[in-house]
Amino acid sequence: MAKRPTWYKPDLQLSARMLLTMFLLGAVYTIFLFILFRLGVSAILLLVIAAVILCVQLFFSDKIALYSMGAREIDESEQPQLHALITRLAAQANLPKPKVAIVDTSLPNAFATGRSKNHAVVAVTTGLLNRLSTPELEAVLAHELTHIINRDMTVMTIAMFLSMVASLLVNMLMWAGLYGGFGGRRSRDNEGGSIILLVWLVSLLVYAISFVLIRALSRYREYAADRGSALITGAPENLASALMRIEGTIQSGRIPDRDLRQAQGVSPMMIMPALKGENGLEIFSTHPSLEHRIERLQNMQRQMERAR
Amino acid sequence: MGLFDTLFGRQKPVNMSAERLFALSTAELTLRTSMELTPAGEAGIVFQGVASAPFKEMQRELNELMQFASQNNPTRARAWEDDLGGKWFLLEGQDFQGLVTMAHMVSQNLVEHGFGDRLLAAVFRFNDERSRPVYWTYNYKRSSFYPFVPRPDSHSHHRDNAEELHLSTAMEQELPMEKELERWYALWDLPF
Repeated sequence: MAKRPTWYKPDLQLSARMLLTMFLLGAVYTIFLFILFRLGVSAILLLVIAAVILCVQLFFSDKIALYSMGAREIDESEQPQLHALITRLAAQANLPKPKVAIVDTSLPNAFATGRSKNHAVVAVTTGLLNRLSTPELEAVLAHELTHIINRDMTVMTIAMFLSMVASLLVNMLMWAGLYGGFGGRRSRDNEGGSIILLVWLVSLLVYAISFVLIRALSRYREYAADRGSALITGAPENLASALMRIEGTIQSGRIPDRDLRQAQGVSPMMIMPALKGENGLEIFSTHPSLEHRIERLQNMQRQMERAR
Repeated sequence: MGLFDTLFGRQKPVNMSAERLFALSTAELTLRTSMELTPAGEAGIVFQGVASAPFKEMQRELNELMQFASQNNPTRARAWEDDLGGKWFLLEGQDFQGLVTMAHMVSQNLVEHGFGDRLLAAVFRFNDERSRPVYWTYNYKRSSFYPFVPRPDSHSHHRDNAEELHLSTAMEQELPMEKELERWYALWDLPF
């Protein structure tokens, strides 16, 4: 079949960056496992524990996120306009219509959760509904739908798997070290002590490196979701203006502290990081800076104008 | 979507097909005879816009084309925009085949200009024996049909799911039917 013209082009650079990040993460994890086995650590129990925690997280992710955010599922009669918007966007995104939930808070934010297309929930805060115009709201919802299409919940959970094992090890060994002293009180066990110290150091290192890589991956997934939003709505500038408006509200500090702390856990799946403290270095944050996101959206806009 | 699309978080344009629309032309007889549904002579085709110059140019040309076609045709078309930003062509004409052909023409035009993935649905209104509306909706991205039956009394967006399921089962031999109920997207407050 002849190749049809399209009004947008793929972002190969973004794909390449994701590939590199995932490759590095895979490499770090492989080396980590290799060292653990060489040092004779029976990591199997640890892996099993982490796997169980992750499976629980994945399978109950929707309920956990909704519960921790205090979100409440709503039906069509309660918010006909919101439902109509999501229906339209789901049709455009070729996605089964997700469930819709609302969080009662003035903090303007939105998140998507669920392990697959058929178990997806999109949640918005009342603050978001009150502050955004319909095209802006549409853009934010499309961003969340793209998280569902891209299975970001699953991708990020898997990416975090061994990082979590490393963090478990770091914590466990530290407590063991504090209480028992490395190598125990029996003095003949010196060699064991240094091995445990080595494992602790390696785990710490793996945790630190994978933390940075996971955050990078999260930012790339955000860029991809921004892109997806623009492709669904056909108007990148709507998301740009929505992001600016949300950022403006968060910065102005009208948000009660309780909401900030509650929001912490679900941060990677949100439209904006919920924590004010996250405006530090970009390499440590889950979301790209507003400037970078808007710059990319503007580039898309330029490219769409030229596409023929 | 493939594994790599998920890994890289990238979107690809869905392969759009307007050809299955014609299945409704042939199914019309069955709808009329055994389901007691008569075509209301009204239909609509809806697509999402793109905020770009090439799209606006395509839209202008398409508007002119449809105006021209309406003058030389028993089927007439006019542009309309709903309050969710969906762009429509509302079609009117007593010849059912003419409606289907015109809907196909609009979609083909979008596909040729590279905007095929903006197509949302083509909606054909039928009337039941009490002349209440039954909409047969074609989803371009899935190449499938589904029924949409709003409850007559309700302004609060309730569908007659029982009737919809009944129609879908009755017509599944004749029409490519959408199997996932979550994809039976509602289209409220249609002007026809």
